[in-house]
Amino acid sequence: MEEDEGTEEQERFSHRQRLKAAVHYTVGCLCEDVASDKEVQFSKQTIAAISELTFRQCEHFAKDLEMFARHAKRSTINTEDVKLLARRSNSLLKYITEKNEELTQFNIEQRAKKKKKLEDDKTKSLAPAEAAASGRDSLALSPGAEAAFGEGRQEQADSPERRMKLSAFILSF
Amino acid sequence: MEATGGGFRKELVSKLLQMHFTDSKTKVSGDALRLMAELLTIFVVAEAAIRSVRQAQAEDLALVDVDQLEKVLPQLLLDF
Repeated sequence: MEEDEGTEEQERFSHRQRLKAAVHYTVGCLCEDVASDKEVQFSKQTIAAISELTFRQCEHFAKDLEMFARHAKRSTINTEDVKLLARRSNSLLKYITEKNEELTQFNIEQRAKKKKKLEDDKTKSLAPAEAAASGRDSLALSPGAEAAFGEGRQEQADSPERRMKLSAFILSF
Repeated sequence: MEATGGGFRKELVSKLLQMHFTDSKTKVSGDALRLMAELLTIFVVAEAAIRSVRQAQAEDLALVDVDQLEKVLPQLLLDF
């Protein structure tokens, strides 16, 4: 029993260590960018201190976020909770709100793109489906039709007009 | 829109937060995760790093050491 607890503790500890190491790496990269930008150097202790600091702040952030979500009777943390977290300094709140708006804008654009892509795909899948159906009905395809169908299959990726022409051609039989 | 080369990755932020949740049902939405990554990047880069750099520049030093970080720490923690 105690052994299990011991190994569990150890696992949790090494999990923590791995996360800390990941944070340290990211912090190091970010500090390097700042250093080259401002033409100063960061001592190793400073980077270690900043990453330890970030790690501890995450604990505070996490607890606060959970409390906010629970207060709103939700189990999923959303952007409003994050905005509440950033309330302490005005400029930070403004920045985070701006980012949030950029994000929602981006999401809307992504959804519009996906919808467009789905519609495009639908028209693309309709054309060869029709061709296949009419192909099954008339067993003996004339050489012209076969050639057109073969060609259409080869260049399926990027010629919707070709496919439209192809389906029109086959439907004419 | 995605975090530039030196940014916190979403999975890392997610794991960091998950570690301190007391309720196992608590989850983070995708958008909130991205905002948190931005917030953490701001915290590290803009605040901790750049404030320390400014402190070092005010003291005419080329190396940013823990002493400079110590001096900016109180205000940093109050702002967050």
